[in-house]
Amino acid sequence: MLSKIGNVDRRIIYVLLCAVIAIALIKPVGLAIKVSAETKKVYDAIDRLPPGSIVWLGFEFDAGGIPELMPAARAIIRHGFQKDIRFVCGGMWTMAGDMATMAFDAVKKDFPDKQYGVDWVNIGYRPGNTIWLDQMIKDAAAASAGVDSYGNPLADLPLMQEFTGIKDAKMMIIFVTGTPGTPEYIKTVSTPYGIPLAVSTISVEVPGTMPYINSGQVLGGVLGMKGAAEYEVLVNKPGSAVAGMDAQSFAHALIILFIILGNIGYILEKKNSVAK
Amino acid sequence: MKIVSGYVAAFWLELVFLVTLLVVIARARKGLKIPEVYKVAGLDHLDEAIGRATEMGRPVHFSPGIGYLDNAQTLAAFAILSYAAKACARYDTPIIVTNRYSVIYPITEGIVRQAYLEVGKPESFVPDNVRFIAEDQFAYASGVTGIMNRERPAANLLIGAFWAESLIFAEVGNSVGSIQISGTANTAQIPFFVAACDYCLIGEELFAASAYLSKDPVLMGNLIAEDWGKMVMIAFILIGAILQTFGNSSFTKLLAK
Amino acid sequence: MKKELPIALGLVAGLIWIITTYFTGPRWVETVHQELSKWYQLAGAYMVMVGVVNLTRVHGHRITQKKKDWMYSIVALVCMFGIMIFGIFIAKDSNNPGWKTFYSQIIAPMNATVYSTLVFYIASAAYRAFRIRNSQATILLVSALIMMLGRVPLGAMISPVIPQLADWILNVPNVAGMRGIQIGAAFGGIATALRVLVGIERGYMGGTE
Repeated sequence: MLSKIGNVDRRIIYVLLCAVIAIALIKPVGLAIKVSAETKKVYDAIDRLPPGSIVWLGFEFDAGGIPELMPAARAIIRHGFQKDIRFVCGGMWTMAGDMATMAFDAVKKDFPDKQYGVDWVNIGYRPGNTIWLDQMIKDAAAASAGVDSYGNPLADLPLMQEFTGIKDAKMMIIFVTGTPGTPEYIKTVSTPYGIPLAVSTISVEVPGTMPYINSGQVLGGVLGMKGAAEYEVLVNKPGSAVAGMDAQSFAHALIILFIILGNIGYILEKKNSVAK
Repeated sequence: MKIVSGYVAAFWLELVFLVTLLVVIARARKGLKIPEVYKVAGLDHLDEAIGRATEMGRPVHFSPGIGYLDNAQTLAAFAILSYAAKACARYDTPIIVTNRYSVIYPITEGIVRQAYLEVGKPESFVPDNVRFIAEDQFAYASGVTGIMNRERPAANLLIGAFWAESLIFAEVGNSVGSIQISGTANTAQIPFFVAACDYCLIGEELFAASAYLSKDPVLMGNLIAEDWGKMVMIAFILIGAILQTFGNSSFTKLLAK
Repeated sequence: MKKELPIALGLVAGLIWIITTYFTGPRWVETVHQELSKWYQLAGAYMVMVGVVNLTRVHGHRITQKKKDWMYSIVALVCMFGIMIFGIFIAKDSNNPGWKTFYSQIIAPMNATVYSTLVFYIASAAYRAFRIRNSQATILLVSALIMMLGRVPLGAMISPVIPQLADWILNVPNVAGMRGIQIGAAFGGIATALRVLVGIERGYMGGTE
């Protein structure tokens, strides 16, 4: 019996975890969300930009990052459109173009006056990793073979007359799950060109991102689903991240419960073996 | 011609480090004394893990991570693969190497083949045990976990650049009863490896592996230069912290140039 | 010559790349840097061909020799060449709807599925690893509990101190540890790069020492 508490079959943990997450997503209870300093810094930085400023959005993730990064991307784009900020986006990850399309498609229906090519441009994915990023700084047209993610010539898009490369951006916001990601942007763009960089990252990357925020190399961070939920609260549009925080809360609680059970089993088993 | 803004301090620091490195290598080549290196548990237990696999009659699994050829961690993993393959060849224990990139595949195959050749058992080398799985990250992860479940390696060596698949590998390895030695410099994955594996090479220990395992004085010289570099960094951190505490940011600004 | 030529080429290209990355000013620096970038991309594309040839050789051999599970080699080759033929002769460019559908309807959901299994592995690893075996393991356990609660709204509901403690762990001990690892790994990376550049480290040549 004792060994069972300390050694629960992992399949039981998996089934319970799945059930808890599903129930919380279907029936959210709406736990209160407090905005952190890191998220507020990103919000304030966008808020301070003059209307018409161009911001580079780096969609450096693929399908796995959608649950945590897509809500952040949507909330940030929403905030930008409210402030008349314009966006140029792309990325070094193969799904960069699709991720950008997904984010803008979700937001544009609330901003009927915003037009593609005027208020935002999606350059999409281009191969070459940091080599491409390096080329994008000065000559976006050359680095992107002169077309956007949908095959439209960049020369035909009005926004691209004002955006010759990332050097023309007032700020960069990148959505990252791994490599290439934050260090590549710091090394290639923000350090030599002094363009402010904000990061939205998945939870696993948060500990590794903190040194960059702490040193000021990254101005702020929308960190994990928690950060995305905070941004949704800031722009008054609660979405999937706010709902996801309930699921995350209960999932964490379940894991903690199992850790406690495991330790009780461990202590009892140890006492038992000493008594023998 | 001038140094790019923001790179000035980095350039001079790296230049000094490179010169130190070359000087130390030159001294090591002349046969000058090299200090002792502290014990790295993960590397010390490599033989034990392979020995266990031999006793159990089960294979050893090695993954060089999912980094490309331009990743220093992948290059560092090759040195450990070479050592592990030689040990496996000596004990006649099969070593299964799973590759993410088709470009890295012939390299790891060459390393394992060479290892069998060096221990005098070229006929024991099984080319089919060095495998290309898939270039897609999660397809690779699925393939590797499938191999782990089917072939139940007694030792699981996960050494190189890992990302989200790290914990998937470590947990599946645990479920099939493997002794697990991991190593990565990807900071986000280190906690997973520390929690789920028996031994973990943390950050620079991975890069020190080739020197540690070969005991080559030239490579050992590298470690000394790295330690000097770290000591300079510690001094910089202390100076910066003290000056900044008293409101003087001149040193921080100098390093940011 | 088989070893010396690649090392010499690598050394020259590496030095040019370092110089043109760190320095600016004359036009030629920029031109050489851009040119080398293109060469890198071309070399990367060429490397794919090396991989294709090697895979064809290996799997072709497995099929002709009727080795164990040889039929899977047929699947591998059909998939590889099928995608290649589709890309070159049918889709022709990356904006083809066929590509997009293939990627967004097949690859992306499969990737997301495997990625999301991580949550289960995190749970089982946490359950197994966080035991109060000794003082260090206890510190790890306590920090994990604070972080797990402090990063979700539930923590603040229990006590406002929990998120504050979680923020402190993230901003102080975590940053200190991460910086240490990052600085150490950076030196290790630079030293490895130099060893490759001057030909001391030759593992990438596939054991041709």
